[in-house]
Amino acid sequence: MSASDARPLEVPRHLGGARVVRPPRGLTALELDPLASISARGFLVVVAVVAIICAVCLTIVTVPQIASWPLAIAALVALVAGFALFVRSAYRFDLGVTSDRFATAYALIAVATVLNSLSCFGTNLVVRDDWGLITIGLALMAAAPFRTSAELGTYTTIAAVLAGVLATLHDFTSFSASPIPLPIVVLVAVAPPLALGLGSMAYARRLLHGIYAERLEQAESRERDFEALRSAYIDHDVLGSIGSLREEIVPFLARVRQAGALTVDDRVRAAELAHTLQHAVARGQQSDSLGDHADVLIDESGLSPRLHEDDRATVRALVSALATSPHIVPGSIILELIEGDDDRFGMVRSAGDDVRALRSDVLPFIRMTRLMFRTATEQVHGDELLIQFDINRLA
Amino acid sequence: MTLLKGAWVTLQIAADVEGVATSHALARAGTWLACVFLAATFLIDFLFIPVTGQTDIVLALAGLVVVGVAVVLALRARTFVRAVLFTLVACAALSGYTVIVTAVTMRGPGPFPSSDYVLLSMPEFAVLVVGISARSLGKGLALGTLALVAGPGLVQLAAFSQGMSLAVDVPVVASYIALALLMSALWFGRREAARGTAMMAEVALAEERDVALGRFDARAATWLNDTVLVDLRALASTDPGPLGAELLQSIDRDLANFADVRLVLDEPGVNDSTTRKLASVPSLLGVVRDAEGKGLHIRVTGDVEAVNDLNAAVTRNLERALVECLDNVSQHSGVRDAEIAVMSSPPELSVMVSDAGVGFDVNATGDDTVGLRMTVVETIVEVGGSVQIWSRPGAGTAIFVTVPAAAS
Repeated sequence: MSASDARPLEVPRHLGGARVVRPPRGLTALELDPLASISARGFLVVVAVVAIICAVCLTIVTVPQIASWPLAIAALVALVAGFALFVRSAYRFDLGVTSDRFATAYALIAVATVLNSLSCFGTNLVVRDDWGLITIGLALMAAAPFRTSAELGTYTTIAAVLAGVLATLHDFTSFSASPIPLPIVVLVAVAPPLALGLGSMAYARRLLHGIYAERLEQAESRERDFEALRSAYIDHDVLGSIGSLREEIVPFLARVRQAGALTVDDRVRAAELAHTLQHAVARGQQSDSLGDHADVLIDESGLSPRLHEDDRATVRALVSALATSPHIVPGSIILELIEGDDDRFGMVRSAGDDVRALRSDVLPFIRMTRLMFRTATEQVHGDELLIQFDINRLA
Repeated sequence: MTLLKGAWVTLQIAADVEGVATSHALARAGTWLACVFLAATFLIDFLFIPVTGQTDIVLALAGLVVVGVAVVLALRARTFVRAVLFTLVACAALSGYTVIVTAVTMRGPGPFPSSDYVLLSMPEFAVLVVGISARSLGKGLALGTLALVAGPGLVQLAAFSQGMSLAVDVPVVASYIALALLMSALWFGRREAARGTAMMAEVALAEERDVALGRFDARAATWLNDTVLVDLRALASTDPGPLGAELLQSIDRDLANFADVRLVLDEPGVNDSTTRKLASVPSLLGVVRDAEGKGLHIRVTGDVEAVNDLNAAVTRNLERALVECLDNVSQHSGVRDAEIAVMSSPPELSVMVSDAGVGFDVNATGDDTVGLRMTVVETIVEVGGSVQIWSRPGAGTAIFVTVPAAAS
């Protein structure tokens, strides 16, 4: 089911009462909460290990049922290949578990299911020993954070149909003498992939809605913060950093307005105030929050103020993390932003007394950088840590 | 269409550090998992009623229903104690079910199955999931272990009491181990994700605060530069003596603005933040972020929240049409800026996508323009809307899309 077709979800009253939460169509939980990929990847690895161990153990336990060893081995190979591709996609930031890559991994796991089933063609004793029915469901469960519930619905249907067809085939070839009716054999075969598949759909859908509702609440909180900041700027700061000049300019203008005429001294004072104000305005325009955090900011094309605010925050978090590491060499953080004709990228260079320890300190932030920018790399050269990222969007 | 790759990656990253959404999602997954296994068992048992002629299977079916309800309640329990109580209820009901089902089985013709047969295994799987929604690893493992001991454990005893031969249900034990591993993986992963999140959230807020202050300062600086500075310079270059009416008016305006800075900050553009404005309009946000990913700079104006009131099919097609329009801007306009203006006039909603690019001859039959017209028009007409395209070579393009606003 696509998010657009989804039934509205009531959010708690503290989020603004009965509001419809409808995440954008085609969105996955991980696109909404990139840090969740850390737990999703761990979950995937465990699922892959469990699935492969399950397959190997059941193959060993059911040796008397195996009619074709080449098929049995090919099934295991396909299973390992499928999960390997899945895990690789999940761990490679530049790849990601896209729809196509998951489809390929799933296809391999489905092939493994079929081969496993065919390997005991005519000699199968009980359908519940067929590990393919479990592993195909486990693959769906592991995919829940990576793909949409709509996609998982399609794959669940495929898995259930596959299980049903294979069970029917075995019923005619292997269990023909068994008193168990066909519908029961099919039910036993279909239940595991269907249960795991529907579970994965529910997981993906509920997780997405939960995170999305949380995001809306955060957006409202930001809105409130913004309004508070604006009020403070108006009521207390009065024009922020430039506001201090107000105390000099307002009395002067008020006096001149009241007099309705200008003296020679007023002319001189007006020139002085104009000069001071011009410098204050120019200073205000030069300030840059990113530059305040790096020791050196090289930004010849003036890219920094044009960066998307989320990207600025990411870079700022990375630079701040570097600055607070006990292994950083003071004054060594250089942030360079470069804009070419066709591309834009940034580099953060820093030196550490123990550069490996420095890298370890900031590893969560490097991961965050990889998640936020489509391409980001990190290298250690001597005592220097270099993090480079492509900038794909602007504010 | 891969519309939203990375679209929602924002630095408000503490989305589920506490694991609330994950816990609820796991509870929902567990519910479905348990219900499917129990429903399959229910159906199989039900099919056996006419085959065996044993009507006491109906009692077993009632037991399965109690198992299902108790498992769901345990998964949704707000306290650990309640979760334990519901788990025990589920296990007790499972034992009762086992006694009846094994008794019926043992009354039938041989050979008799052992205690790991499928009619007992599937409800056992259902009971095992009770711990997966717990917010702490310890509680989750404790609930899972309780379910293993009191569920499959008592099932074995009940089956044995009916004279059935005992057999360790390997898939059930393996599932328990797998569930424990999966819960551990999720828990440790979440702990890893939480590391550094506080700092990132703090930095993100600080950055946003700085950006907002920067915007205010920029506006204030522009205002000062364009008005007060000009007036001060004018005063500095004016001959001593009475001031002209125009200069006096300018000074009045400056003093009024100094008295209420709100007027300065309320100028258009100061409070605009696409992210903030669109946060509650996911379909438009997706479109905008997708376009930003292609290097466009999108300005969104008008009654954007009205888009949320469209029905799902209209929203989906509108989204598709807007993506097509912005793709066209990206590929053919020669400019990087575009505007999306939303106008709500019930029972219709209009959205205009415009750019100041090279434009094109609307009557031309080039592949690009025909493609744009066909895709957008077909998509919008499909939901009962209409499309108008205004463009001239060198004079930009405006595409005016009108869709029905009434929910159907």
